[in-house]
Amino acid sequence: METFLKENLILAIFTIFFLLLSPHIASAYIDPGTGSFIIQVVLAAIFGLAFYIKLSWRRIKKFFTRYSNKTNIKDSGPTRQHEQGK
Amino acid sequence: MNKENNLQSNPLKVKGSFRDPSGSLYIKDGILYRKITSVYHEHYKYAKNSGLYEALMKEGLLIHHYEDEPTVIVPQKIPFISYPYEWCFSQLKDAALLTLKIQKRALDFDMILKDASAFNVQFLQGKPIFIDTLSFEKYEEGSPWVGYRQFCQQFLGPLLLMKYRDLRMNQISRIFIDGPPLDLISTLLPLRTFLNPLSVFHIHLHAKSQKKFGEKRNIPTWRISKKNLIAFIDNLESGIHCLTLKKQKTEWQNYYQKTNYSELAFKDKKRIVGEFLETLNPKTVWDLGANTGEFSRLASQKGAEIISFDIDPMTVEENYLEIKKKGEKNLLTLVMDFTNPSSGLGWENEERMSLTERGPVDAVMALALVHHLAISNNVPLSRIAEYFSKLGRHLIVEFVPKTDTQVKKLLATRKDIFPAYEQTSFEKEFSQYFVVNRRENIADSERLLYLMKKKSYD
Repeated sequence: METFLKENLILAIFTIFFLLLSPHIASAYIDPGTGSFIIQVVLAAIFGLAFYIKLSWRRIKKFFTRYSNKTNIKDSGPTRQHEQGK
Repeated sequence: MNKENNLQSNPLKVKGSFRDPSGSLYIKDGILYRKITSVYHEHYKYAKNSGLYEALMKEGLLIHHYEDEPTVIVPQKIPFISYPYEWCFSQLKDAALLTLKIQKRALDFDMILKDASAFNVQFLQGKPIFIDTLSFEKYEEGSPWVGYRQFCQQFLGPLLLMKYRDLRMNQISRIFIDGPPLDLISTLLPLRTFLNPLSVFHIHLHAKSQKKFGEKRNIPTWRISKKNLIAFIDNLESGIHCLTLKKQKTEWQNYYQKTNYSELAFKDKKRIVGEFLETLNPKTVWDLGANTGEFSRLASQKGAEIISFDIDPMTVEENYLEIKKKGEKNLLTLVMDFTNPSSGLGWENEERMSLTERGPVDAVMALALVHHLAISNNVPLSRIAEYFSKLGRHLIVEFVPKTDTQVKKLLATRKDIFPAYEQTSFEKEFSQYFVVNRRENIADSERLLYLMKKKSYD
């Protein structure tokens, strides 16, 4: 669990830092527009973060569901044996 | 069918192809070629070798092409070029979703769409397809989607305006060829769109950001990670996917239920039109004022490539959804007001073709249309005949006399300044441009159907 949180924290910090790195815009035949570029960067960061939170939440949920399932299974030993017997 | 069909021994440059320096379109001996310029060679090779083209073509997302020479490609022919201002809500929505889907697939192959023009999408066999093979460039980690503003102007803005303001707002793309400016879209959208995250983020805040930073010409030193870019595109995609249209009441909806025909007259009209089509056996048909395409389907079922035009975006919407549902491949429906059909637009008025330029077709159907043009829009019968003769080589036309209740309705609130609107004048005026091959009375009505052939056409 600790490793899991640590890994994701590093990823989050990395994502935020990534936004503030060197300039980067492809040479293009249409003008991206400064205002459009700024809002795109900001929105992409927000949606990226939202996606990351959603994903992390799912993982946490999955972790606890698995943990509680294991406990339940331990509590109901005969059922598990029955299932294994299948 | 369009001007690309013109047989030319010398290459003829396509006037609409000049914005993107990656390539240029020209027609030679009736075949459309695309020359790839040196600035794009690297990207073209990458798209080809990475398997992007193959994957997109296989998935039916990108138009097929073959290489004539290493730097010249021959794209598959699109029988009829249509434009976003001629599409209904769902057509524009499907085109927007296709663009985003392609963007995501391109990123899988480390490429990115460099633009987001709605003119890069066409309808082929009932489905939207991307036609700009040279729209992809190598993706470099950190770079943004340059075409984001264009996407909001050409797709998202008009879609939101159609949904939240009025369906007729699709016409706004006709005024602004690169899509309406975002500040205008933001002003035109009702207040309740401030509750919708899609319009708040991508239109209202986007417009504000343009206003605030528009003067600054130096792009900030920020990068967008690929993951964030994908999340951003996902957000746009799911937002647009959820945009649905509430049925808006329009004048022409339920037209077939509101007509004054008896069941017998309607059946007889269908029988006669069917017979006329059987005689002509046309390959290409335009049905002008087609409503939801009841009569267009008589032609499409016989294998003709047909376009159902109607002035009402809601009936076109209904027709398009029906086409989608049934998987009809040879029927396209478009919004068109024949009192002001699509003209040449853009640079020198030649970037986008007028409707007339995209013809003529084998047969034009104008059923229950002439009285609207002649009486509601005051167009003399001779001018109607002249215009129809420019659009098609044959004509199936209905004449609805003044004694008919539909015409009586049109004249109820205005002075009858149309003494020439009667059967003999109709036949006389149309005979200047056409030879009347057949004339049939529709049973249980006073209406007449004609099958005509253009005079100068054999």
